[in-house]
Amino acid sequence: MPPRWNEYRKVIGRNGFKLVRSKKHETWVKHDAEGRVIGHTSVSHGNAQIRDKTLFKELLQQSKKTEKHFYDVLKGTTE
Amino acid sequence: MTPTLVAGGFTESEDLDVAAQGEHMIRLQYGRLAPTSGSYQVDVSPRLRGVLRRSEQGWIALAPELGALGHGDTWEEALEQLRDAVEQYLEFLRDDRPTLASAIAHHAMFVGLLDTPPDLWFGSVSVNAAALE
Repeated sequence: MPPRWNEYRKVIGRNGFKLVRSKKHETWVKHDAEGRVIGHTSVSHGNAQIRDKTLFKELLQQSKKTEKHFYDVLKGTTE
Repeated sequence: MTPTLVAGGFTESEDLDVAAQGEHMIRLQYGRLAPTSGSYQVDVSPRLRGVLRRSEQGWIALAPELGALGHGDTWEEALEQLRDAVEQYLEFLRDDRPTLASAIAHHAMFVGLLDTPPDLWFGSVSVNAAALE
């Protein structure tokens, strides 16, 4: 079952990303402990499935996650 | 990324001076004493690279300098989504003025793109060779 956008939101939210803009899509940004921006990612509105595996891989790269870590966070077995 | 400026006169005898310099524009003046003297401006604004890749269900468009991406059923749609992602991120940098980690400090130099038409944001758009296989 492909992941959904809400699941992507949940994972990046648990990993320190904050929603900073929401217009045509959402922009989420991650800060380090000193408040410096260290990354950003784009999220589509709605909760459609992310069926495109290439897109999912690029999103994981943007959010600096592995697929295993992504699903572990979803299952709640890790932060 | 540092913009590179290559300057030269139209002939060997012409003077060529950098007469004024703004954030993204350099005014070059040539032939100051000649009847045909004048000046012209060279735009040295940084531009992004666009990279298009085929994916299982369409196209992915990437701006590697900003780590931004767009996707769509067609490459035009993916590029349009990439422009939207770039615009929204650059607006955040311009309006919220966050401190950037050193690894992405160069993102700030692209904020000036917001003052130019989106059609000019990408100096080049290439298609990843694997997309054509």
